[in-house]
Amino acid sequence: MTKALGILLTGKKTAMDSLIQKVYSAVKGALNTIYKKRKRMLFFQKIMWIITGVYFVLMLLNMGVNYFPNLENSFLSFFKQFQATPSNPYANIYPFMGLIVVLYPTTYLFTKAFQKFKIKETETISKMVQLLFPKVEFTQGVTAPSKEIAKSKLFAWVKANSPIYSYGQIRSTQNNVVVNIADIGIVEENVYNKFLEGLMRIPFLNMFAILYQFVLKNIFTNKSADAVYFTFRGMFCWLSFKKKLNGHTVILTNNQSSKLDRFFSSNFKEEQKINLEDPRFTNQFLVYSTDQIEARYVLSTALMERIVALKEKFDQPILLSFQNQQMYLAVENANGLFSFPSGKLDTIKIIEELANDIETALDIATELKLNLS
Amino acid sequence: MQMLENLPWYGYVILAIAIISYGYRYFKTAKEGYDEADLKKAKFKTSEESTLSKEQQFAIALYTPIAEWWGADTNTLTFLDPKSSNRYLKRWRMDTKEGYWGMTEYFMKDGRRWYFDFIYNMIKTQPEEKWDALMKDYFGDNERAFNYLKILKTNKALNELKQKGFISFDSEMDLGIAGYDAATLVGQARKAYTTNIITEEEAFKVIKFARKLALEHFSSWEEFGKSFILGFAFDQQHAESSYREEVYHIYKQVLENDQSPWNTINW
Repeated sequence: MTKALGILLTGKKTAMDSLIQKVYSAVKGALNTIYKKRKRMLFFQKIMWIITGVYFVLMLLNMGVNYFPNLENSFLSFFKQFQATPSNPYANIYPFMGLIVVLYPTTYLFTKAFQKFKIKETETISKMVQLLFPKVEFTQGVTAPSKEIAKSKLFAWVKANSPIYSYGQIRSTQNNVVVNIADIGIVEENVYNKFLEGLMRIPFLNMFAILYQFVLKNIFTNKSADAVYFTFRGMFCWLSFKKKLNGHTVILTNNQSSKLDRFFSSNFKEEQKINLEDPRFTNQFLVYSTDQIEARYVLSTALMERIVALKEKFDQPILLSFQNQQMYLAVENANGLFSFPSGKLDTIKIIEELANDIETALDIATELKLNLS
Repeated sequence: MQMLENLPWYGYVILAIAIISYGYRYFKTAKEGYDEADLKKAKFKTSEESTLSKEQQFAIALYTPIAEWWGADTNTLTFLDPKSSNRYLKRWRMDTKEGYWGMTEYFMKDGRRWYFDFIYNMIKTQPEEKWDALMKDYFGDNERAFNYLKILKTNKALNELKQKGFISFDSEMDLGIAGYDAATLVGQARKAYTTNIITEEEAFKVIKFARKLALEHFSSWEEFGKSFILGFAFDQQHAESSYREEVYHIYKQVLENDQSPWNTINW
């Protein structure tokens, strides 16, 4: 039986390897084009924000001159020519005009480059997914599964109006089990963002906050403009099973950030921390549940081992939750599942990673050997 | 005014650009601003005088999203008042017995599903170069059919529904739009009864047909709802986008609100 399963799995792997090779040959040219388009888009993105940043600083200095009226022969005295005087009452308009003249064409070029890059990226991703997994349904341009994300309780700061973006969604039906996989980006009102929001309300300090949050971040990032502010980016997967659970059990990455988020968030006051025995599992994960007994029933020793193995397979932080008749899984992926990473793209590794992530998620019910009946 | 007299030359340039840009926005987009969607909260009004059976209430509920848009009761055959109902019927040229039955027989026999089913299957199964000939063979010079082809070919309605979160996958279009036809039949029968164009018995005959049509095609409110909204988006692409926005807003509430007939009456 084990030998037969081994042969089956080896056969499956060989078939997938040859499919990956085939897909790579089909999209190699497109990957190269996307790399060039991304480079061009990032160039204009940086230029646009550098101009904005420089102007922002110059405007601050220009305003600062008023506070140092006796400065002669210094750097700041340069800005005196932009102060309104009776002989030149509109001198302070010059910097604004300059900003418009320089920023307008750069913004236009960036927008065009961004559109072209995104169109090519979505087309190529769609082609890759359809070639790799012809039996699944794939969609783009659809709204994010906000209801499922909120219900999962995986994200401590997600509220009804939190901005959630979707980069594509897969639905697969196998043996009456429907697995949904979405690539999502969330901007949460977490501790960091709340702190920044507070900073924005303090005069003078808010100048530096704006400079950091909206200018420097965009200049020094290699992410495209739409993905700079996400607090979570990656795969979100959900599936139903027949067994009804009364409470909800959430499994999070064991780190300070998860603990802090849980502590400060008002969304999750009913849950208790569950202390489990498996050290391999507890070293990596934190478990919170509304029902101690049910959490231990759900998280059997075997399931804990499989979750650890699943994390290794994804090679990324994973979050899981069980509620009612649903299981939710989130896998962090800074580049996103249906977006390409920065750097050279003409490598087969890109296709291998996409295939591995989708395949693992599609097999999640089998991987975790969930009792679906 | 004195301030304007002292402007430097570039000041006048900026002022001119600002006036032109404001004028452009005013004349070009002011209309859209005027037609901004009026997003209403669904009330799911019920009349205490209702005498409808469970079956009849179920059939009346098929038309809920549009009935809510009008603000009509959810459990009566009467639809608002004769004046409002007649306004609708006039627009569809159904304000006479002949006009009503002509349109109703069309919706019972063919409806919008006649167009949708053929064009959707043609796009799915036939190469694009054959479409024109196939369309002419089937529809002749029917202008509506060619408009629908354009909508389906460009995925205009589908993309709109995906962005709203009502449809996720292209395959959901396989449901067809019989749900929209069934809902339309119910709505028209209610209005025609309210304006005394048809009798109560005649209205319930049509409504019974609509109920049968819905039950034959769908097995849940969710399926019916998708078919309804797909048909609505497909058929109403020519209408003001604000009207579609308003109905989408109501439809979402009909799906989610606990008081909605779609959540209180079993399929």
